[in-house]
Amino acid sequence: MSAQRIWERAAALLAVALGTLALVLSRNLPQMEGGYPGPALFPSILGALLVFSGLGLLWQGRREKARLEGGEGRVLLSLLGLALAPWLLSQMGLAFTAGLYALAGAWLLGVRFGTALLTGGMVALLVYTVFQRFLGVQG
Amino acid sequence: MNFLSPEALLALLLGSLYGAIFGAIPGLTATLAISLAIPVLLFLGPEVALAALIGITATAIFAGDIGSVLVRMPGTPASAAYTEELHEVARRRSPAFALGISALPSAIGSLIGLGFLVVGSLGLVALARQFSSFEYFWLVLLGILSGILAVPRVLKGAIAFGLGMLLATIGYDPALGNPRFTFGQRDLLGGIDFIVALIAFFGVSEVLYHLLHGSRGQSPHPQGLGRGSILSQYFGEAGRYCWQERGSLARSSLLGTFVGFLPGAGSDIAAWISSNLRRMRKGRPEQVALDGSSANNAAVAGAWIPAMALGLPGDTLTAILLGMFLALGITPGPELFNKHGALVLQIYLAFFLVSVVMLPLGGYLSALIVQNLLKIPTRVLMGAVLGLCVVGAYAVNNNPSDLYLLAVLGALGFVLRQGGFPLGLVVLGMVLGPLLEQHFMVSMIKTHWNLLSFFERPLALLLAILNVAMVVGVLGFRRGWWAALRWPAEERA
Repeated sequence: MSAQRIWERAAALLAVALGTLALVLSRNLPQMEGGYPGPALFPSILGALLVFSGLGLLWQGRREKARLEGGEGRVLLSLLGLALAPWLLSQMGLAFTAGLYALAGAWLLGVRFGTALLTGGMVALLVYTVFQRFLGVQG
Repeated sequence: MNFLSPEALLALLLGSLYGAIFGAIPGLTATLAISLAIPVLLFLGPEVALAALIGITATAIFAGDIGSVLVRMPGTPASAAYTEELHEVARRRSPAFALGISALPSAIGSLIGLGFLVVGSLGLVALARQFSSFEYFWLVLLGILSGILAVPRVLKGAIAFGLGMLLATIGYDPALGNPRFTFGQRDLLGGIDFIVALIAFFGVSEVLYHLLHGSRGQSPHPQGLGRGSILSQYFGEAGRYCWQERGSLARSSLLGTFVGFLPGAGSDIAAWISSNLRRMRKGRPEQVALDGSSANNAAVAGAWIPAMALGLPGDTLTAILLGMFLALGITPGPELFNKHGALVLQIYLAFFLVSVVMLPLGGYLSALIVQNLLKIPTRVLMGAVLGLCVVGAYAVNNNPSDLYLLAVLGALGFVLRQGGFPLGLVVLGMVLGPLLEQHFMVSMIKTHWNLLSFFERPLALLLAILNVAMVVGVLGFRRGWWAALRWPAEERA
């Protein structure tokens, strides 16, 4: 439960940050004729909603203690790995990229390397057969 | 007219089996099943894709019970409401009987829900022809408010909806066509692709969740379906029991359809309310399981009523389905009934076939498959899911930059999920946000920003009052009775 509070606070802070960003960026959007609010109106309302809700949530949980439970490094590594996907796709093609991610995912999750390799191979085969040969997806 | 071609029938069968397998395995949810299937279905045409989607959604909710029976772990949040009772029945009588009192009530609940779907959607379409942007605005707002108020902590619901709606503001605005928040990126002019977001929120965040909790994901040890006369227990004994409980079955199916119809509610809420009502009346485990399983499947059809007739999703699954409709070039609402009447009939017929054939027969077949698949560790399945997420996100538009979006939205989904925020509401926000803005702006532009115009038409006024009554009513309800219903706070997230 205490770890959930950390993530809850992180999400609340994110909501405040994104809400503020929406409020600031909305100021540069054009107005309608006659001075009526145009495309800026809805994002501004949403920005205010996110800022107030985020601050409210932070206020509600201000006294609760929280700490991380470990394992966040693996999550960060996976997200950084996902950001490499467009480059890997251009180098290795779709099936091998999918297989590599399945292998890496299974291995990071604690599966033995041999089983992870088998998982990656099965996924690569499935992607090649279904997506590339049957559906004609390029890559 | 060819309502169900061989291809569509095959899609219905394979979709049902696929949904049943995903729904049955703990950790693989109905939303994840659809998110991974959509990139494939987009290539197959509307008739085949919709048949498969109906098969997946209808059976995945029922199949959550298979995990409850075999390993005492609900496959979906909708089954969590009565897992203990269903597993106890499996242990005390037999797994085949327990599966029977889940599958047959699910089929009956689904059939009753279908009856209301046909009558309700046609009735609502007739009513919707009187609607203008004012009425639609109030209806969409009703969906948003009821979604927010259905969450145990309202602020979390507001943040989830707000983030979803904010994500949907990226790209051209729906009323005037001005680009917003694109940061000069041409790829963002069309907005964030709904399907990529779906894969990120339900696929990537699920894998990241398992990565964080690492070794806790041990593979369960399923018990078999039992020995001896399995079919007679599954159909015969369970059928006789359902007949004895026919009154209760009808009541819980009606309740499930109604809860499913409400915007923002869904199968899991229907199952919790129905099974808790039975517990409060000191019902036996068989009765609690029967009420819960009929209600959650009836809710699936109930949620389709506003989705088909008004283009308003009742829950996450129908929000995804509406996204799929739009991706296939079909606009739900009265236009669907005017221009694609044959497709509407096909949807009804597909629901009927799933209810009568796939749930009772396919349920048994999928349980046989699933008891073997459950031996595969969840960690291996999650590795495969990560690989398929990458392919799915790329295949939607053949655009490598969608993969950056996948990583960013996956991280957002993970943080929200870890914090106990309902991810389904983010998706609902992405669908309802643009509708709310469009109907508001159109109303304002045509009345030169006269806010009173929202209360001038009788139907609009009625819907405005309904919004206020719903907020007051739900807040009052939450203060008292709500807490007594053992609310599944974390499951809904």
